[in-house]
Amino acid sequence: MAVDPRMPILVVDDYKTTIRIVHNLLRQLGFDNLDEAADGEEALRKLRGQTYKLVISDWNMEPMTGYELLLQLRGDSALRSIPFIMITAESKTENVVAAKKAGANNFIVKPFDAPTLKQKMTSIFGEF
Amino acid sequence: MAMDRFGASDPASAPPRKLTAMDLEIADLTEAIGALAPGRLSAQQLPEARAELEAARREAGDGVTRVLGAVEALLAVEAASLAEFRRALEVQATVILEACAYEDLAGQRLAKVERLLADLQDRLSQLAVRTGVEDRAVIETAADLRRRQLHLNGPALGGPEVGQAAIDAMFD
Repeated sequence: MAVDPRMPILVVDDYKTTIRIVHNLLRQLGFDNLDEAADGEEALRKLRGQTYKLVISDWNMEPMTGYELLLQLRGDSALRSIPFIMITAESKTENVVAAKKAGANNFIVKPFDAPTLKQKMTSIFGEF
Repeated sequence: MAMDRFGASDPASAPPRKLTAMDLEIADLTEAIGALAPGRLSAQQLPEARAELEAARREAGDGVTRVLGAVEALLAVEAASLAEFRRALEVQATVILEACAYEDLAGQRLAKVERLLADLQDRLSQLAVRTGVEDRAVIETAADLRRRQLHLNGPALGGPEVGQAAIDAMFD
């Protein structure tokens, strides 16, 4: 899968600070078509309304968690192929196993660094 | 014993009864609960602790927002010379230094809450010992069940339970 620096990316987190950090890191990596949502429900509304090529999501959010968002995406024929990276402080084995079973493309544990984010995106889209 | 006009005994003239073991136990329990100071805890100390935690969270958020603002300003700098960039760097570095003061304030507030929790732990421990009461079994609420089903555990103490390298191996 080739990487398009203009591809629309949706970052989902209930902490505005984390969204700001991830957006800044993505800009450093060359991506500038960035959007945000504060929880799974808002993200799902946006995903059903416009096209995104990547979702980067937190887990622990209300009223819909990132895990529930992932299950919704993978259960929707129109959305199931969108790459999904979970970035979360939920770091138990059960979380990682559940995310993988639900179809996450990758899983980053907080706190994370820029090279890790790039590495996970490279594993999905190839070198950029 | 004196009788009233209806023939019933008059309580005012009744001899005082002996204190029973139950009376003494109730008095002891009442004193033990009083020592916990539940009134002061619920009306003053716990609301104050919550206010301190909220203030600490707000101050940390404000501090981080200022730091991020400085970082974004630096990333956006378009300087014509190294000297100009150096000046811009010093301005934003100062903003970052000043913003880091949030750690001092937030730290002091958290220390206050820690002291209250330690005090509360002592008082509850003494109550448990004095009364000998056993804890009731924990009943899982609907909220507890949802947290368990959605694997909502929050950040672990002492760092992630599973490190990034182990996660990567599971996804490879």
